[in-house]
Amino acid sequence: MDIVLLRDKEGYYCVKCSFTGSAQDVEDAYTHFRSRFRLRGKRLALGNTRASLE
Amino acid sequence: MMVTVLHRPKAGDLYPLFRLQQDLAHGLGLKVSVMATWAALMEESIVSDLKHDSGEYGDELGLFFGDFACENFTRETGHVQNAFWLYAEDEKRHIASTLLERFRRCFGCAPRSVAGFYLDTSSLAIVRELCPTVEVAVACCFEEGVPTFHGTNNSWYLFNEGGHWGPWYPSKTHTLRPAENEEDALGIVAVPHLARDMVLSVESRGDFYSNHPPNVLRGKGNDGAECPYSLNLIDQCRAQEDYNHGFSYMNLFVSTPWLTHSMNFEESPEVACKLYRESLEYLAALRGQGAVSDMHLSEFGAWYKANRPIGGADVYLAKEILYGSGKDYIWYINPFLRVLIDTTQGGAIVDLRPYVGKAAGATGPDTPRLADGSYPFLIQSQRRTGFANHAFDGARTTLNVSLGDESFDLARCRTNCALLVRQNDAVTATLTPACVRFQNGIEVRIRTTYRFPGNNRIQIERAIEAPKTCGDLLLEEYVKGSYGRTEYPEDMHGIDLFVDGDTSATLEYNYRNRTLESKHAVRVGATIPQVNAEVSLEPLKRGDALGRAHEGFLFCPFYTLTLSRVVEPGKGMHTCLSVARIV
Repeated sequence: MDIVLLRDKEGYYCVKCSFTGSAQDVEDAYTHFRSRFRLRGKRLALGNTRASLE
Repeated sequence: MMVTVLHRPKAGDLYPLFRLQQDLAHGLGLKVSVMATWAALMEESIVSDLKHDSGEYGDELGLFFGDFACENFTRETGHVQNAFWLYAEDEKRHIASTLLERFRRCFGCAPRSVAGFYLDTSSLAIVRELCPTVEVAVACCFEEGVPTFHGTNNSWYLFNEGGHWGPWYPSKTHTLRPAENEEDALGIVAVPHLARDMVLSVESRGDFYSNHPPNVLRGKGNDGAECPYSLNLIDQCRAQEDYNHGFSYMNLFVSTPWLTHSMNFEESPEVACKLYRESLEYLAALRGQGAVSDMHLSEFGAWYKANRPIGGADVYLAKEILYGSGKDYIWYINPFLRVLIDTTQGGAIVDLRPYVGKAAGATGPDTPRLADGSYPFLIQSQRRTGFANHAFDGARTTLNVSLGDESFDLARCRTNCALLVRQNDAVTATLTPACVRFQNGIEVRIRTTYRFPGNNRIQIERAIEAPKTCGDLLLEEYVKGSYGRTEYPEDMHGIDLFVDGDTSATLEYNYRNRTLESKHAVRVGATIPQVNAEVSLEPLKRGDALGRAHEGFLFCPFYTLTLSRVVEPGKGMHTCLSVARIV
């Protein structure tokens, strides 16, 4: 499910779920989400995408 | 690798971003194919710019079948829906005529290429009929369907799962089914929109993970203002040359709303533009090294027609490159079937599309499928459970290995693709050995090899290495199927199960958990009239195989086909999984 964040004076709230939080809370959640992508900052060599013989 | 860079001008506030895209590509000397929208064609200044770019830089001018929704289009046609493929046939014809007439009036010629997010079979046929000069189309968004629908809170009605990840010849009955031959072909070359991540298109959303940098921002696969993953995906696409006689193709097609403030990602427009620029720069650098050839879309279509015969096959080795999981997926496609092997599940087939059934594929309110343009599956482990989760397992294949009372499901073993070899349209995929350790300490190594001869058959070889003292092993080749297009179970009534061997028997599916069985089996199978297809499993060496066909029940609405036999250490098992057309 996509979150749909709207802003009010307290911070952000989602109209599709019960999330509420500050800008920092949202950023922390995104950082946590990104943490699963361990290679997100790594440029791979072309050879890493090829099948290799054992 | 062959590359097409496509741009799509929108009128109004977004137009300067189109100019930015054009300037970047022209500055790098890249060939650009512009897919003009209705709104752009209604603006004289934009038309003038496009003519200038075409004259100055040689841009190809094509037509985009989407992005209609603007005031003058609604006034002209009465329509508000942007999705061309979801109109009734008479409306498609009216819209296509209107767009083509406007294009001709603006440029004095007819387009040779068109694009849309999905151009179903009637859309393509109508465009082809009204404009025979069109030879190539951007015609699908690979594997966008249920996950994208869910991810957009069930609001994005684009269902085109089950097609090709690369260029193909659409058939007359379903855009996504590759044509068998000239007679079966619609007469056009199709390419997908973008190069998708061929791992995360299965496990997640293809619209998050592709060579479209701002899409990756939405999927949060970037690292601040950097996104090496986008470039890694380009390289992964290049690597497919190794397995396809030196051929690979991708297009880069980013529209202007993705280069400005977006509710889809928190990064600034500057970051989105930077990442787009870096993709273009990388492609230009690769071209400079001779690793990439940039082509206009119609130029590529002509090349494809001249060099790739109708009825061929393609293979894709997808190595997972964002999580760092070490997973490999192997894709194979030909006009008879599409298959996906998950090496992390011991080499299980986790997606199987029986193109032999030639399912109808037109979409629109005047068609039985309405909005659903996906090609039906027999196996889809994400939509139909696959490996057991909360209760029973679902659609998948595996090998069950038993020693004494202990049984082991090969799907519990992580393997990789060790070797992928293609000769003409025949492909052999050899996996690294799966190691099975039984409780008595005996270790058995099982090496799986898939052979795709280029037709409707998949040969599966299981080579066994085990200590001579281990005793006989019981191997069971296991195929659990279903059918459908979405995640919800379909009505299985009408399906027949059968076994052939010492005895032959059939069973009408009625959710009663019954089993057919035959010794010295020569074939076990199921006929699924809902998709005009039969799926069967047969031993490639006659012998003492025990064949079973098992009916499911409502909490587990599947059919299961198995062949089992006792195997001595050092021997193996050879079977063949086939799909065939039933009328």
